[in-house]
Amino acid sequence: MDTKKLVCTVCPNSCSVTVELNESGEPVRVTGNRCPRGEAFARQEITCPVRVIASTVLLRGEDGQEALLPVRSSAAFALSKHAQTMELLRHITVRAPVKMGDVVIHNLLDTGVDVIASCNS
Amino acid sequence: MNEFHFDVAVIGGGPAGMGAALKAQQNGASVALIERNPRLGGILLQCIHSGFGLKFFKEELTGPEYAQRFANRMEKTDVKVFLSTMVLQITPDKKVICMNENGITVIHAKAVVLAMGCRERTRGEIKIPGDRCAGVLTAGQAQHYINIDNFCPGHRFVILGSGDIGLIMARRLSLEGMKVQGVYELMPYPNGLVRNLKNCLDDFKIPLHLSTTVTRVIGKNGRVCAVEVTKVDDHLQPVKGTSEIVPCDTLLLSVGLVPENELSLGAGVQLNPKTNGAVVDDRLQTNVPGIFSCGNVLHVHDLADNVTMEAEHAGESAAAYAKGIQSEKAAAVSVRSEEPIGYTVPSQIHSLQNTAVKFRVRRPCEHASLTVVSEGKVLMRGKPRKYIPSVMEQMILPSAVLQKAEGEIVLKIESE
Repeated sequence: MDTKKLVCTVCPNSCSVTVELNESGEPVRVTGNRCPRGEAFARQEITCPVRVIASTVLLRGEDGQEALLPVRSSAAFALSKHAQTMELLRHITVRAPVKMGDVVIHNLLDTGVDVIASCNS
Repeated sequence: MNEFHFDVAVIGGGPAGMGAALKAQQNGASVALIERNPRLGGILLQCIHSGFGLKFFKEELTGPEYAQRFANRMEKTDVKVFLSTMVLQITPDKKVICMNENGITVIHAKAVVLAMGCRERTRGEIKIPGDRCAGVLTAGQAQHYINIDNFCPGHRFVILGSGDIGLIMARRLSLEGMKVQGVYELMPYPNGLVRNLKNCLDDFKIPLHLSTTVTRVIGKNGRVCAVEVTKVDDHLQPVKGTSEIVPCDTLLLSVGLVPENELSLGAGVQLNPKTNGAVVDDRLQTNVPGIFSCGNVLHVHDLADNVTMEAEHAGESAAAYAKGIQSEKAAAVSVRSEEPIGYTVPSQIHSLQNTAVKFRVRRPCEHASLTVVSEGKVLMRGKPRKYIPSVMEQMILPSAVLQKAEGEIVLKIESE
């Protein structure tokens, strides 16, 4: 049976996790995690790694001035879609005022995840 | 000249300042908070990545979100916030002299909380030889350019130092379409959190070169065009014949942080040469009665959540001092550490209650036990585990142990 070693990145504890894989490369057993989130992370990481993305979009202020608005995805989504997401964010301009949590992109690339504002502006 | 009177003046509006101000106010003190930027949040505002709040809010937030939550709490209180206001001087009798667009303002405080944060070490401090051309900047400076100013500081980067800001910037630059040639680290082990190594380097296939440093900056027409990197030996000395030229237009430095204590020194605060922060007791009070210190100006933290929790403690202590309810007893126990522990905060303990002691190791220690010793007697020994320099550790000294201590306790790490 194949095994794969991972570092869990759910929290700063950074547990070293070992995943046992079956013949078709699917995770069977996870050990080394100190909490249930570690097991879920390891299974996800083997099948389809997901991350939260954080970046900025252009913000047009009430005075017409341009600034940057920090944004993030409301949840982790497939790492493989991050490059495409960056391309989308490059072409977005948001108008002030904005409140933390306001949705900037709804259902990003059909992932079911939104892009939301990280602060008031 | 404008003059104000407050119980507590907090210097700095980042996570430490806001945490301290809110707690002092909750404890019944009138509070002023002074921030040099036009907005609260400090360096959190440029840390747009997630990873904040896991301890304090039990959810993962970005830096701006973490700051916004505290700014929202501040708005609901009567803490007087002075924005765009620069503190010029703090006197030992706790007059805070500041300047803003209204001119000079003097705040008379009964207690002061220092929460000015830290600064990045620069090229000058690590003395990289070579051409003095444009294109060498600190990682945090590049972070400000990209995340706040919308500037593009370069196209092809080499990052020196594997501290967290350097790793975070490696990812940020890659996401924005810039090329990161590699991260070079002088030490034989990485200096950042493990999750940052994975999420910021591995995800983007950016190589990390350990025991390697930049030995020369090469410029052309006034701009960096390459750097020379060289492997180092066990004594961190460059090894002849191992140099390589790496073409790039920008060198980012992520080579450590230094507490920003110019104001503290002016107030007569004594610094600890190991942390470059103030020497404090268990109430986070400095040698100047009524002046407290917390957050990155006290010692460099790796998590904002830990800064907040420390700052709340300082805020509570400052409020108690201002209201005259702090006991004036001399310190009962002093705390010292031995290598490989680099320092402890606090270094003096008054109360014999359970007390949190923070420390950091100077080199990685596998399978090592934390031991508390007083007068040659072992008072406490922890379970063996791994300690690494990139993680600030916190242990609780139980009341029972403190009561057994004879004047001084020593923290040691013993490898098996």
